[in-house]
This record gives sequence, structure tokens and C-alpha cells, in this order.
Amino acid sequence: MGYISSAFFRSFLIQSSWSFERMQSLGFFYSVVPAIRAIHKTEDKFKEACRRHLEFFNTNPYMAPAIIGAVIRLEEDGASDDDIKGLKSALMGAYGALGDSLFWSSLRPLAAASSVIFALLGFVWAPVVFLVIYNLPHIFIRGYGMIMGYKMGIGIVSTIMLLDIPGKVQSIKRGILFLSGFLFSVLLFIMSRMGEGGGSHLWTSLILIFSLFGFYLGLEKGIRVEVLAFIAVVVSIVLGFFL
Amino acid sequence: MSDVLIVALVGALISLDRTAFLQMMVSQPIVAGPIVGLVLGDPVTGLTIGCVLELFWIGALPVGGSIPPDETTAAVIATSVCITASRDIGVTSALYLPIMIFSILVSIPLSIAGQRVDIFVRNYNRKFALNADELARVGNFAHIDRENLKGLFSFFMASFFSLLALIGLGLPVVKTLYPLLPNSERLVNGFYLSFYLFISLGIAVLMRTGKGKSMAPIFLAGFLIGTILYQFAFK
Repeated sequence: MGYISSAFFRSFLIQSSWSFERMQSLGFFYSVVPAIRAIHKTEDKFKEACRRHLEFFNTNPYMAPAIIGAVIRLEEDGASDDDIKGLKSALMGAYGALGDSLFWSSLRPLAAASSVIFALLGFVWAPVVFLVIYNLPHIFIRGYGMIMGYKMGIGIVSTIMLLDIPGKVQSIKRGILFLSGFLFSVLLFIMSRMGEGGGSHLWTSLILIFSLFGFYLGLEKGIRVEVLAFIAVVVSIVLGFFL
Repeated sequence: MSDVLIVALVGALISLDRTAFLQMMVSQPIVAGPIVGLVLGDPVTGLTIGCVLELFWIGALPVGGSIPPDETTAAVIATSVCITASRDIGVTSALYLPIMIFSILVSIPLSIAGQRVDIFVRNYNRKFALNADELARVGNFAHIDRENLKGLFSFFMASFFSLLALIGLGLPVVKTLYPLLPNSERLVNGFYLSFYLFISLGIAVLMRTGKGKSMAPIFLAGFLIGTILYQFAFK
């Protein structure tokens, strides 16, 4: 059983040698090799297993332990080369898409919005807020995935559906929008506290409201955020002469 | 000079978190900024810069083979350039925010250079896969896992030298251009406004990541609840 925890810890290095050509292939090998060494006693079987895990592999790094766990289980059960390869290639795409939508496009913006709110309100531990919101689910899914993958073997294909990731993504997206509105109210609030003179406050609030619309439309039109940042500075320097 | 070296070292270690190791998002600007700030004795500046940069690229995803803009490099450069340049120029606290905006502006194009280096490493790493293939061909499986770890070294070295070069480029730019700006109160006001506009731009990026049905009501609900909360919490 030692090789399960070893695979778990090694999975944190699954992208160490990430390349365009092979992506996580070496990392996957690195993660499963202690297990296959322990499972396959004969030299030939070990080499055969090594070869099949050096092939192309890529998925969302947080979802990888579930696949690694299932693969180790299949190796233990003496599944055929085709079955193991089939499981890997079937899961890496599906899990990759689920993990990307849950972590990169939902949870990370949510954690970022929360921590920026805390930071703007002067809470110096804001970075810790970010790390906690992001990493509790992250570490959970790594650990849970590894355990469930190992337990279920090929059954892991359906197990992940129980987590209802697309449903969670929808709720998190609503949370992001809510926090966007909240953050905007924080922005107006800190501006009113730091702002110079009461008279100009109304104007700067209006400028901010219009800027939000403008930036949103600009992004929708496909203007890069880097360009908009430069535009923001030019606009604010020009406006600075009138305020 | 030694400051730049230490920042590049710490920055390169943080950058490993982007791809090669852990991915606990220590590499996000709101965490990386304060860490670099702490190294230079000014975590609050790092947090403020991290706050601005955090949202800019939050919608850019490392999915499949696409390489997102290097927000870690931007945060490390902006924080270190801002703290070091203002210390060297000797700016007063009232002028601190303008130099911060200036450093952020300089860091943006430099971080695109950082992204190029990232792409270079990911091509270079192909070497390790080929080494592994060769080892497998001759049947020597004992040392293949070392090839994976060699990638850590290439990612680290690439970030270290690119940070060293980019900070070395950005610092003199800010130090020579900034004092040339006319000393005008209105200009300073404009820079203050830029800070708020940056956050507003970040919110626009954030809203796009949360795009979906009934956007406006949810956004307004957040806005109203926030506004009501301050009336109680801060008045």
C-alpha cells in the first residue's frame, strides 16, 4: 500500500517535465513507477508496464490522481495492455475538461474575487484567504480521486459523475458574478474614503460605472486586457486634469 | 544588485508552482506579490500590486497546449521594480501610487517576454521525453523517473534568468523615465484614478468568467448587499 501514497505525493510533480509534444507523459510515468515496480515481479512484465506509461498523457493536474489510482488498480488486477491504455485515454480527456472548468475557470476566479475584496478592505491576510478557498477543494479532489480511483478501478468512470461537477460550476459562476458586484461596491466605497473633496466623488463614481461598461464591451469585442490597461492610464491622466 | 538576485531566485521558485510543481496557486499575483514584497521589506506594496494584477488574467486558462500570459512574472517584476525604484529615487509617500502604476505598466510588456521564455522551455523539455524513450529502448528503466525531475531544473533556470534580465530591463526604465514626468498635482490625481480604473478593468474580466444566465440581477444583488453592509460596518 506504500505505493499508493507514494503515487499521491509524486502526482504533485506530474507536470515537471511538461513539453508540447508529450505533455504529462513522463510525469505520469514518474507517479506510477513505484507501484508498477512493486506489482510486477518479473522483469518482462515490469518493462511492458513501463512502456505503456511512457506514452502521451495529458489531463487536468488535479484530476490526475483519480486516473493514477484507477490505473494502479488495473495493474494489480492484471488487466490487459489495451484495457489500461483505453482507460487512460478515455479518462484523460473527460476528466481534463471537468477539472479545467471546475478549477481554472470557476474556482480560481472565485478565490481571486474573494481575496481582492479582503485586500481592498485592508485585510493583510487576503492572500491566505485565496490559498484556503482554492486549495481545500484542490487537495480534497486529489486525495479523494486517488482513493476512489484505487477502490473503483474501471468503475471510476461513473463515480466522478456523482460529484456533479457541471452543476457546481454553474453555482460557482453565479458566486463569481455576485462577488463582482460586491467588489464593485467595495471599489466605490474605498474611493469615497480615499478620494479628495466631496464634490468630485459623484463624478469619479460615474467614471467608474462607465469604465466598467466600457471595459466589459471592449473585452467582448476581443480587445486584449493589456491594451485596455494602457488605455485606462491614458484616460485617467486626461480625466485627472478635469477633476 | 543583490536585491535583484534574491528576487529572481524567489520569483523563480514561485514560478515553479505555475506548472512544474504543486500548482497550489502560490504563483498567483495576489500571493506572489506580497511574498516578493516581504523579501524586499514591503509586503503591503506587493499586496496592492498583486490585487491589481490578480484579476487581469484570471480568465486566461492553461488548458491543453495553450500557454496563458505569465501573470507571475508580471507580479514579481512590478513589485520589485516599484519597491526598488522608489527607494532609489527617494519618492515621498504621496507620489508612491503613481510610481506603482508606472511599474505595473512597465511589467505588462515584460511579462509577455516572460511568456515567450515559458514557451521556449516547454519546447526544450521535449529532450527529457526523448531521453526517456532512449532509456526505454535500451531497457534501462531504473533511471527514467529522473528525467521527469530534470524538468524542474529547466523550468527554474529559465524563470530565474528571464526574471533577472527583465527586472534588469524594467528597473532602469522606471528610474530614468519616472523623474522626467512633470511635477503636477493633476497628473498625480490622474494616476490615482488609474488605480481605480485598473480594479474596474479587473472586475470586467471577472464578470466575463462568470458569464451566464441572469447576469445583471446577480451582479446588482452583490452590489446592493455590499453597499448596505458598509453602511452598517463602517459608518
